[in-house]
Amino acid sequence: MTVITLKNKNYQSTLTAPFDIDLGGMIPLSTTTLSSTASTVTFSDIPQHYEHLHIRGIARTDRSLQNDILRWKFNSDTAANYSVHTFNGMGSTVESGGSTSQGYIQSYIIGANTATSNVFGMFVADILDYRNINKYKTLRQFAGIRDTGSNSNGAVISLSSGLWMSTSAITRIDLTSIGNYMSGSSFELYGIKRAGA
Amino acid sequence: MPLPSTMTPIATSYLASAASSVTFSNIPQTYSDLYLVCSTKAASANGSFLCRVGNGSVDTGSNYYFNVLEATSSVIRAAGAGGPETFGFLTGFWAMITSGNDVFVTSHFNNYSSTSQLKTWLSRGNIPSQWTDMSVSTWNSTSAINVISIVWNTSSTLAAGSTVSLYGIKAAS
Repeated sequence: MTVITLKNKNYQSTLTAPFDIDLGGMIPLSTTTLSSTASTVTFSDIPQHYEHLHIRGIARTDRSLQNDILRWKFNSDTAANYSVHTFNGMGSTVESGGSTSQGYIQSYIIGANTATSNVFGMFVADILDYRNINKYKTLRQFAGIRDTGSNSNGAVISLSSGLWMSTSAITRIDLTSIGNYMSGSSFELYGIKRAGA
Repeated sequence: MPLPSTMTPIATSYLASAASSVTFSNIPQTYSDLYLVCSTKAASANGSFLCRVGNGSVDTGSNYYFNVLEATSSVIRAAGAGGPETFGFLTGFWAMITSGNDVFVTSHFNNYSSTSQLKTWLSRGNIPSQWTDMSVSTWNSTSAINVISIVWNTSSTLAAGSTVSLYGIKAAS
């Protein structure tokens, strides 16, 4: 029988020297809140000493739609190295979809400009093992928009799973949409530490 | 002075006896997002698990919209385009939650303190013996959220031993 002893079973703190500051396991890295429209939001020079990345935000584009999409690219790779699957509830309709060999991960769902004023879609996403050079990179996203009124295009809840077929560590994330993100859209990046880090 | 952690526990309500609701008031406005974690059990009559929010007091008016996607052992379905309703949603749209069943719900409230956007939250619900679901809810107000109330839509109660926790998430400044 193999007994595995947890190296940090009694781990209490990251403090290793006087005046060290324990920041916990989830570290805010960067926040972008738009004060004007932007076609792309970029997180660059992502530190390489976390275990996972967490991205969350609210967004609305300027397209004449009630809902819109997010497009994720990593390390400026625009080649056909991405695939995605989605599972959505739009009004009373259940949908699923998928694409392979794409130049980005296209996921749902954020707000757009025919939604009621001040309605933004929101999302939370995770990229696990973002710096592992032995694995392709997976994005998992949970998102939704609920406009006021009864139009099903403004009532969407969505799960997306995306794949970047690269073993490179992720150092940059570009978030684009077909339109432009509007003022008030906000994107937040966090690093998730491993135990003992 | 040590920096605060990013995900900070704001309050935890542990029910020593059954209660009809759990309410968090005077929620600090110093975070960017909120994260709600509910581990509970239906103690009495069946019901659906709902959420109301507000500024100063809980909004019980017809000011909520939601959409839900659910999977049971035999069906996948979605609903919710319509409204407005007098509540936002956590879990349990079609069938009622059976008395005695465990209920686990997590909800993200992004930009809860904004005064320029309507408030939206995403929820994941798990009633292991009945369904798994996810939902999006919107409170039709640009007011900041400083009160959250979790309720059943019938005379159900949250069982003794239920735990409901609220966390604040700070973004990088």
